[in-house]
Amino acid sequence: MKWIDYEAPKSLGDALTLLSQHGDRARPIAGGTDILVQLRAGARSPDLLVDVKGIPELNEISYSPSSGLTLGSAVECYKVYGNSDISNAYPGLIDSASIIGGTQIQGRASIGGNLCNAAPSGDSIPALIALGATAQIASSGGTREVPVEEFCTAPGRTVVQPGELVVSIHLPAPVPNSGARYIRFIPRNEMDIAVVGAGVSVVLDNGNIKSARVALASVAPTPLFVKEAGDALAGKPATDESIRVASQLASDAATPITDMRGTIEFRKHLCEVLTRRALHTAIERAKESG
Amino acid sequence: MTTADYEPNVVLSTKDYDVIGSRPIRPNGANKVTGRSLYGVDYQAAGLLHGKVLSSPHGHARIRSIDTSRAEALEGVRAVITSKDLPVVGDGVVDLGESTGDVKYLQDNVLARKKALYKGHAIAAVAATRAPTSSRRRYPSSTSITRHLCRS
Amino acid sequence: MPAKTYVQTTINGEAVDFLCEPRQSLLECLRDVIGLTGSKEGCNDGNCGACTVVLDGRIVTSCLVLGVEVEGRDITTIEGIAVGSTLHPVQQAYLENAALQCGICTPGFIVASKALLDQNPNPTEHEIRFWLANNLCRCTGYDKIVRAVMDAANKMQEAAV
Repeated sequence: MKWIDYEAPKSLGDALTLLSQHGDRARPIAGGTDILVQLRAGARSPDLLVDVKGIPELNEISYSPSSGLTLGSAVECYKVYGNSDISNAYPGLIDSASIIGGTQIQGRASIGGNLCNAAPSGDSIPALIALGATAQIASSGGTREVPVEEFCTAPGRTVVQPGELVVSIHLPAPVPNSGARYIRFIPRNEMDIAVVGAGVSVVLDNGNIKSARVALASVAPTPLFVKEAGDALAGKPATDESIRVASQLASDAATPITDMRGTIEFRKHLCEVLTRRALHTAIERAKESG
Repeated sequence: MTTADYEPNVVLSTKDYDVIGSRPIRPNGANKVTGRSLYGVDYQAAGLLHGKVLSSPHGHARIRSIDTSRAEALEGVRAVITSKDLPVVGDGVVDLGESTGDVKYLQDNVLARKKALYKGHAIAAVAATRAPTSSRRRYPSSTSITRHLCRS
Repeated sequence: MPAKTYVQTTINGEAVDFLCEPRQSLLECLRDVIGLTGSKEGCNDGNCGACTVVLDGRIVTSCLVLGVEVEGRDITTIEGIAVGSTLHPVQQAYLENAALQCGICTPGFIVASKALLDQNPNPTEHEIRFWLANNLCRCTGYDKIVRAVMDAANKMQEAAV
């Protein structure tokens, strides 16, 4: 690859200083499983990699049943699914963390990196959207919070400005009778990039769906929050019929392209099927979570 | 032969063999499972050069000209070859061992002569040293060397 | 300012130091700088697992780790799996179950398999296949590899009793 410089700041302040000094010539590196591939292919060409793995705030995992989860943006996938608090409270996120790449990739890759890489197919992103997650973005001027569904702006592009760094992702505290699920369709059983992915969450109230959120991967330039699908479930009974209506709305909202992974028709079909299956599981999880 | 004629379990031999029917460990196995086996790419030697082939990005593409001068001028590049460096071997059918082939067509597949026949057809090859010891300058990767060849 | 970074690390239990440019992957450092050619390059982008090493107790694809990132870390490569001239049960099982042909993927598979058994001494076939999903083999069709891992698991459990 081209020459790169490398710095490993040990504090958030030092990292932000480096990032604002170098602007768009610098890029953070956490697991490196996306950025190094891109550097070698010439798809991204920063001059400086800022290794953020040594910054305490980016490695934080704090959970409480009342305030939810703060997940440092450099925390590796294996730590996410190896953490019993997260596994118990957010199985929908575990669905994603355990299928990004394979074991070795999960030893380095982070949920924060998966989000910041902003691939339309990013497996963590629909789950984060369904769970109502927000990204905490720091700069020398302070911190701002962006809902994940607004975070990605184009393939590989996000709202993060030069000099800013995503410090952590915050997930709201799980409410009783809620459940979430992420599933994807891939050619093999593992390792592939999602042809379509569906991340959903539901909150139940006495056999009815109180509220729901549906998001899709690989069917638009960015992961797609299908607000109308979730809205269509609000107040409805948790039955096959309501699920089918919502799944069809998800498929209708999708604007996939035909590429080597799938055709428009196939992807539209997958949207309906995967949303439906994910909703079924999310509802079962919600019933169990009582 | 009908099913009535079939005789199962016809014994061909009652001899015991040393190897046939046994499950020997492959002779190079211990080296392979310990990482000690040296494959071609594992060999290191002083002055070792590395080769890379430029493959055509186009199929059915007429090659108008190839200018290798910029690639040859890059630091570390020791040689660049194209089909003009290879002799024209004439034609005639030759025995390839398990099949036959016409030399006229086989030679064009080594390095493309007048036309890149398919996407991936070899156009040129470069032999260069690896990265230098202490230069901070952008050292041309083998990919960028072959990209210089492409600009002709 | 020097072009190369000085890195001190522990590889297969021994202190190792080396110089590398920031852009050089750990795989490149192991193979070309340090001379440990057991880890192989298959894809250079994290898909094939032929470069698998253990880094601070977790298997990783060393092609996606930079040499400069392993300062102070603990690395185990294929060269560190056997103990002296005694093969690890995983290595022995691969030989006895014919779980290799050309052998290029084998170092990565063995490091990954051993890591699995260190963490989960009694994996199911499903668990083995999914743990090893990040390792690709062009020759064997995977069946004998999975059998070898199960065989190794059995032998290691028997030995532990």
